[in-house]
Amino acid sequence: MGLFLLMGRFLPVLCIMLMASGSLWSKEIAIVAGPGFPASTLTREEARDIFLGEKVMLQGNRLRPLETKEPKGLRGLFFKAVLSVSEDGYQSYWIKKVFQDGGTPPSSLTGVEALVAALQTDHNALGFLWASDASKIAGLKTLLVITIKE
Amino acid sequence: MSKQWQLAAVMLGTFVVLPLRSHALTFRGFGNADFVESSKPGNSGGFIQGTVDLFLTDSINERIDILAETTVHPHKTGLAGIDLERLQAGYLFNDGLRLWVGRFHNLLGYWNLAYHHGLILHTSVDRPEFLKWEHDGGFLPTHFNGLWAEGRVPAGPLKLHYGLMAGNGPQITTSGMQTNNVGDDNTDKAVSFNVTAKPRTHPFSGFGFSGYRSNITERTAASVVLTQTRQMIIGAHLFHAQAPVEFIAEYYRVADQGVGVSEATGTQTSAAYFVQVGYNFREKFMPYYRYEEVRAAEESSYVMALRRNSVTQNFVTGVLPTSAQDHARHIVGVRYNLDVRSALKAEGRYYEVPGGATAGEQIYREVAFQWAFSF
Repeated sequence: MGLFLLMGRFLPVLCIMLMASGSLWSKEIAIVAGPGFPASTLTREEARDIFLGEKVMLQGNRLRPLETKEPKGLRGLFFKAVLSVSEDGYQSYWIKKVFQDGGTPPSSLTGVEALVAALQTDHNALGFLWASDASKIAGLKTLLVITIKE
Repeated sequence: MSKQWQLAAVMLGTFVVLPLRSHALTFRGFGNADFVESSKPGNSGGFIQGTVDLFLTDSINERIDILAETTVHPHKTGLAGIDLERLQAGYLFNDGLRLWVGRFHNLLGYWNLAYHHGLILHTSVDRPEFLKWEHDGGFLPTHFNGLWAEGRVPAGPLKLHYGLMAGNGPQITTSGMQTNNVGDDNTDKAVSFNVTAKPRTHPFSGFGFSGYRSNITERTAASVVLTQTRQMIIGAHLFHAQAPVEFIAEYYRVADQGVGVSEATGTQTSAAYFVQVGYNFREKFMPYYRYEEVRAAEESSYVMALRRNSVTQNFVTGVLPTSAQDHARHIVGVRYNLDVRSALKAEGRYYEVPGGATAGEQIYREVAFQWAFSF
């Protein structure tokens, strides 16, 4: 009886702690593009297929996926959560993919500034950023927000 | 320096200079160095100079892609062989349709389309025996010259990748099986197809079917027709290529019908298959096993033509001169990835070759080591 009373008292606290821990460990990645990008939204499957080179066209336009080396941790998490590959696995996948189908792998840029500049000038380009960073940058269209819980 | 090596040096120089002039051009090279010891009689084994594979691809505009793959490989004679393995130009209509023209790899199964000539791309040291290239004495036609339509289309919970080729079939000469690269030697065009389905939720796994139909002529050095075979190949494949597990299985049924001047009548059926499994520890260390088997129809005009004209200048020491004979092969190996672009491989091979009533079964053992890399 005493144990049930104790649990009842601490249950709400436990729930709040669990919820808080959940939000602490979740991260959001935004798939972004410039204002002229031919679509306003993408599904998670479409995003995966684009970065794996399985989908190369959208509404008659050749897509150009881009990725950045900075900020640290972003690439690795995106590859793992969305593409289901490690960073090495991604590199190795694209060596094979280009060898099979031709074309070019996603361009790797140095950082957020370079990515934003590329997205604003190339209407068929898309990339990914932390959602919190993407929301602060004017002139970008968010196509999809992916919540990743670690 | 021989003329072949001089030409190779010029080609390499050209490939290196070209990327500096164009940002869209992708240049990649593949290479390897091998060591093989074999118990096969008459086979000295030793170090084997590897192949240099030069690969270029370019999207010259939104719709047009170009791809070229050239290999420079040594021969036992000391000369180098230069082969234009693939040269293709493609026009992309949409994700569901792209048309290519040129020379490609035949649409048979999974392996032939996934790994091409880059040895670092596959886990094992070399290809399954029957899938070896024509100039290495392979059993199946692995190259194709003509037109290729391909695309990816969603189909419920699956995504289908289809391909359809039409063009020149091969011929068999005193140098073995040859792709008809400059014109066809008959008017009957070869056709090839492949349909591979991948679950939409698991893009690294799939299964599929492929097929090939061709009219294959065997000719003497004086171009006299010896045999003619109407060949139909049907195959099935299954794969899972996502770390840590790798699984590949392919099966082919090869039906040969002698026509015209052939000595064989009726349809003779051969079978070839392999199963390969591997487990990747931390994407570094990967033990693997492969079993492969060929049951070649003794009376087939195609099999007899391949045996009569077996390739003798195979640059990889220790393999059978042709896979157009019954054999089974077990391979146990390990691969260690030094880097994404560099891997060490070691494997042991065990061949069982039924030699018939007179020779009895022959057993060969081999060990092979390879350093494969891309640059």
